[in-house]
Amino acid sequence: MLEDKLLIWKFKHGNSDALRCIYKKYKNDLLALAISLSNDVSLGEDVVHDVFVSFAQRAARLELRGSLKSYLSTCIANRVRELRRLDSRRADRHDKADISRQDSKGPDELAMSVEELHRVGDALTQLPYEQREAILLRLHSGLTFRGIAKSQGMSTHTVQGRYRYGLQKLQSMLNSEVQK
Amino acid sequence: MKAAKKIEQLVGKFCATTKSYTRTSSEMNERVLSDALSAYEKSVTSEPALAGTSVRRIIMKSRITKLATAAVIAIAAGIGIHYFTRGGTSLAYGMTDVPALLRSARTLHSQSTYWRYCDNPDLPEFAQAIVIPSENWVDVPNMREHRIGFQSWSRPNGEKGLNKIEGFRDRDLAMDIDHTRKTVRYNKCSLIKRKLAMRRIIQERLHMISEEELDSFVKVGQETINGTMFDIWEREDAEGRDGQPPKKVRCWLAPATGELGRIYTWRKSKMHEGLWQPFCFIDKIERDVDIPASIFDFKAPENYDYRNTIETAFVGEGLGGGFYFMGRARVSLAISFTLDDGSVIVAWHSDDLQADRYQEQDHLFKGLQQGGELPKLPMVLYGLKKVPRKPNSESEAYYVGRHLGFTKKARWHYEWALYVPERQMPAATDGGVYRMLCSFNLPSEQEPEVGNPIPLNKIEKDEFDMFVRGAMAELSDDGKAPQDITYENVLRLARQIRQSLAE
Repeated sequence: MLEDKLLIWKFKHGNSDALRCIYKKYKNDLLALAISLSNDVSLGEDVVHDVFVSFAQRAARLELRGSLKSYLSTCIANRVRELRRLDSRRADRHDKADISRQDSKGPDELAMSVEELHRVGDALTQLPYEQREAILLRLHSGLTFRGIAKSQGMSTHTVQGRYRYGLQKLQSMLNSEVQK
Repeated sequence: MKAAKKIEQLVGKFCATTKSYTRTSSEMNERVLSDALSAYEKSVTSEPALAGTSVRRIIMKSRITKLATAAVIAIAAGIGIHYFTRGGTSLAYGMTDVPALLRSARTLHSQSTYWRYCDNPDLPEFAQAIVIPSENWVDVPNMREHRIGFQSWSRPNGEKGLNKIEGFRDRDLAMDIDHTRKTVRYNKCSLIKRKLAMRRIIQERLHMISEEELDSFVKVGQETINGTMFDIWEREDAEGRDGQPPKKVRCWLAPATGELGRIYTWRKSKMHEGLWQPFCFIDKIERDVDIPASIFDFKAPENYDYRNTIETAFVGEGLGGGFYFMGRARVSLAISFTLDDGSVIVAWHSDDLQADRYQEQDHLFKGLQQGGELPKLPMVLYGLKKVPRKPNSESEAYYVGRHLGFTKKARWHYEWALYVPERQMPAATDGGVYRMLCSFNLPSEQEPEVGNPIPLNKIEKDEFDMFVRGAMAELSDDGKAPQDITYENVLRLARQIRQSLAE
């Protein structure tokens, strides 16, 4: 946290090494989040790219009130949502078809070696996007419900509801897993 | 436990795993950084930073208490944040910038003085020092080095000595001159090993502190040397490590340019309690200076005894690393690499000193499976243990060895084993030391023992083919690495091994 404050301070004052450090520090986490949200490796890479370019462009104007990690995670989620809106056909295609693509690794393939985690990955991709986003921002990036709500311009209740419904759906999909 | 909690835990586990194993590619890093830096450049030139903003103000805007603010400022001073200089708003380099500055160096020239101490029975109240000058030139991209220094030696009868030596390195060829003995010897080593050495040589030549030590530097003053203003940074060990006495380092760093002016190192005296004795003073450090090509020309006085020629330059087995003995076993440790996930690849071979060294070992490598048992060579490197460098560290990580593959060069079979930590470990960046855990398959019983340290050699994903597959090809008669030894396959195998260990 303190290190991030110093990095941001450097970043805002013209130190390009700070930008490199920030990228290096968060690139893997953010890519994992972007892939988990989009269920597409290439799209995930593009999202991280776009977020960092945009972040760099706003260097001098950046007003960060929360943590840098939360800010960047929110940017990732916003960008994924934006791309989905811009190209809903593309998003639908990926959500449904990419799972079976042979030449692309989804987040589950990248990460999983344990059967139960495979199943969690599969189940997550079957959730409605908004629920998946709430769950991943909470459990992957550690954002608070209030933080997620603020970034999405909606009430905390709505986000909590999406999170809860998402978990319930996962529970029913993974019922046998959980009963063990 | 409630089902919802279990689901949360499962998803949390999923997230932790994706985070652990997702890695950006080098192509992606290049693309993102190139575009982001270009955007950043435009942004900061068109919208200059707010003049007059101070660290204090930035921090006070946050919710951190005043007490915490003081702590932040102290930490900022310690880790060398870019700060405003007294008169204006120019940016300044701090100690944490030093590793990046050194990593980016293409050439380096340094002049140092070393002190070595010895007893003098006629002067028991004093420490007697031998002062040794040293000079280095390093050309990283062309893999060249010229070094003038010294080499200490000792004999079993207690006799000790210092020889003045001079060394030239040019890619795979090396010439070592011993000016004390007036001898010249040519050596060869693998290009892979030279590439690895060039990555760390600048740091070693400057006796730089490890990255984890950077946090403990504090600025103790300023000094102008030849018209350049330097900040003086200092740190000292509370206690020694690796069998060495505590050291104190003082570093002169120009805040405006990142130029290193001097690096002085002292060590606590073993003979005179509490006394800091000079150890190495580097007084001249020139980074990215043009070095005349003639500096790297191999040249030695004609009247010296040439022990061999370039044509007969000796190439040690195992990529030039040579061999050593562990009891009755003869061991050659060719190379080792640490991967992103913390797993380690080590190539080694071994034979029985008392048996025919030309004895075929084919049968020991038959039927081996990836992830399975290691071959029953006379010395088996069955595991590693990682010893943290930090004083008073509690835990030691143990790595379990499994068969990854093998290659055969001339008469030697090299086992390429994969060592996986028993628990999830971060990639090795803290400078810990790996020690070999060895067992023996010899006609006469030989107790297992902890062997030599092995180098960390941390490599990135995009370096895997160049270093690991390159080294495998070099240690193969057909000059080819096994097809299935790829970065992805090795990481997958490491995951499987880790999983099986957990079960």
